[in-house]
Amino acid sequence: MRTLFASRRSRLTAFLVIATAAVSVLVVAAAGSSLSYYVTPEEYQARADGDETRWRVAGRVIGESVVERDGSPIAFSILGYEGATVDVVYDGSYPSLFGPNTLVIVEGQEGEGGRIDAVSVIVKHENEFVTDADDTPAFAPPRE
Amino acid sequence: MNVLASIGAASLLTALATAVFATGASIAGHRISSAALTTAGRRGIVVVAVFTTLATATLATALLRDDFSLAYVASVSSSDMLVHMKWAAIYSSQAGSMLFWTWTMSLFLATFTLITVPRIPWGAAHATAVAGAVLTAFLVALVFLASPFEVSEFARADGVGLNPLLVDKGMLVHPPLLLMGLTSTAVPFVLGMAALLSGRVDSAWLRATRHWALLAWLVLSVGNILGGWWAYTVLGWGGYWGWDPVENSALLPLLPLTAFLHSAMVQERRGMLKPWNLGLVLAAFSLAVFGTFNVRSGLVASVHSFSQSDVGQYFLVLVALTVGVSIVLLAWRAPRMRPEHDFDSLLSRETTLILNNYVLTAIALIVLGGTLFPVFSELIRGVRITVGPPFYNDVVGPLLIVLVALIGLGTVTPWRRASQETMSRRLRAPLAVTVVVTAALAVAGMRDPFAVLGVGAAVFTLYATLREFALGTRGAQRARAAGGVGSWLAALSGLFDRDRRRYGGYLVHIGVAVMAIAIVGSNIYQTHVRAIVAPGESFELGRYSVVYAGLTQTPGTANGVESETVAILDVRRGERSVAALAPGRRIFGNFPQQPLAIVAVDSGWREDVYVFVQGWDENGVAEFQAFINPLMLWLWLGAAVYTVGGLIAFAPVGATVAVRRELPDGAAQA
Repeated sequence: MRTLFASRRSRLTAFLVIATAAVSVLVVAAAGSSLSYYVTPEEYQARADGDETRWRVAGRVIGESVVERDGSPIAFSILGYEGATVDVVYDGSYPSLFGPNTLVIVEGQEGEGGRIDAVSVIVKHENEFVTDADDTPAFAPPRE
Repeated sequence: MNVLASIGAASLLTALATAVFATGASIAGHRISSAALTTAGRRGIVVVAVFTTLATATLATALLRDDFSLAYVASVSSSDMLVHMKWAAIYSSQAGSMLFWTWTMSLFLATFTLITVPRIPWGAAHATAVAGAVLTAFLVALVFLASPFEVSEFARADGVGLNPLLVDKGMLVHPPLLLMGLTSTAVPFVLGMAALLSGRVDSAWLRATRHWALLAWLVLSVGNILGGWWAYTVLGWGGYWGWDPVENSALLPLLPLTAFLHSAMVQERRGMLKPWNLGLVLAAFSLAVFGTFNVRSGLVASVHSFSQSDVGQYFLVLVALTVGVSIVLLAWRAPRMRPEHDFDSLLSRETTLILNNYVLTAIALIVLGGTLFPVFSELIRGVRITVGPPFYNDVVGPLLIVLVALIGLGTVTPWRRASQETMSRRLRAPLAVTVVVTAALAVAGMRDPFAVLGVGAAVFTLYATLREFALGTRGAQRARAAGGVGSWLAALSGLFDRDRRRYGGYLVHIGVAVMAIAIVGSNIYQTHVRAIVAPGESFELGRYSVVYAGLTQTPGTANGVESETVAILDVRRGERSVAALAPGRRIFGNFPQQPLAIVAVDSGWREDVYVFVQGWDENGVAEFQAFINPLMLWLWLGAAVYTVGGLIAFAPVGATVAVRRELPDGAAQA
């Protein structure tokens, strides 16, 4: 063992290998607690089976579905491109741009009746860089 | 025929043809030893820059003239947009940003060709050939896949206008600096490739590269910092870094560049880490191209990205090609890159710099892995699995703390060999100060282990670095006192004249330590309040009381703004009014479903009061999201110190010498 780590270079290498093992443990531990399945409402409906999986579901907010308490949103539904809807309950901080028809990504676990009990809602700025691939006006109505 | 579209498209096509010629002429010139051909190749790179400049000027003219017959102009501009926002529209969308990318890269490469290439006879032809090939690759994308000079299929009276999120003055500085930072990585890449192709893998390429790498690092750093500032002041979610895939893409090339600036010193002084240093500059450019691909491909779901298009697939091929060729060349030349020395001791500056490189590389791999995790998981398991910000915070956070501590440790550790006695003498004071400060903060209530370790590492590095300035100043003051000039300020500024690179670097380290403290404060000790109040009512926010007077609406004047509604807030502490804030919403005529939040911030030395309006009803009852973000001003001040340090390290030494020659010793300046 002493001869194996006799040179300074090999001792440094051994230290870096141990450091890599420590970082790997950190990565695995952190990944285990923050992995989430990124799906559309359609995929969510097909896959959700009541376990504790963490989901990120992207969909468009259905305007008339927004439930407010004291004028502030606490629940809403999102719509997928193929027509599937998912109910969302969220009582935390909403992004400033949240509103009807905005494309949002909700993150949370499956709750009662297949709804998402969200821990975060972020607005996806789908047109932050307006498409110029074709001549479609950027203010074209959303696909609903 | 649209004249501007024709001039723009012809300029790009000519630039492409010239880039191909520059590559071919350089290769042929080298093969048949023709100086005329290699010179022609070099001139070709400059001509490419001339024609991409002409193309950019043409697009700018089209935007200024409201030429909506160009599809690009119609999609990003409108007649009521102010001139400066029309300029920003150049790089606001896919094709325009590609043009801006290629234009700035051609300017960097042309400058490099004029200034540096004549000084590297060992690899001039190789460098020019690689520069031409890189420009060709980007011009092909611009000419065939994403041209901003396509004429619209139908006439438009007015354009759509810039997307609301982009109508901000930050748009004038953040995207261009970020794009320029990314494109400037092309020069170190070209030099690294030239070294590998020519076989001159000693330190000649390193001397030529260091200054360019420093420039790329500086511009990219500022671009990223401004991105954080823009997110904080415009996007309205209370933070400045969200670990979004696109943000990660901008950060990634900065990590190998930072590593290179440190490990290059080890090669310069000790002849070690030769293949590693080459790998770092090649990795920086590969990651810059990867970022371009990531933003344009829709590969990874991001909250902000360009529309998906064929350009993404093209850049995927380009990334694969860049990485593949780099690996093959490195493997080919590896036998020539044996280290000239071994470690004299593990207790040395070399070791701390290697550890610094290790941590930076680990962070880069973790961020890259996290960004691409959904892609790999979909390939392997058929489902996209993402890792969110908590993953990055939990993994990168501790590594950043280690990195900040390593800065201080590296500063106090001498080169080659340090005795245990020397180390204990040099570490005693910084460690004592660190223990006292963190203990005092713990007594004052700071108990979070991340906060204690983060602030501890930063205080350690701050003390160790400031002591270097104190010791240097004292030594210089003594030397000057002997000559009759003993002012400490003169001695301090003399340090920068004497060794810009070293003391500029120290300033950067001070900036990093200050930013680290601010990041700890603003992340761990943020206060958030959600309040619904009627006009005349107030809500509590930490030690403040916020009084809501009501809403006011004003019509828009320019840039597509239809109206602005703001809430009038009076922030009070006790009986005293400390700030008037006006958060609100801006409605855009062409984007009625995408109102832009007007974020209101009152910055102070201790904390920011940060408010945006969630919404309101017909009676003016409004919901506010209010935050107290501690130490935010220090984040920007730390960033300013970091930037100034980088500028000092970058500034040519010759300029100072010239000025000093003009002034006789002791002469008073007018």
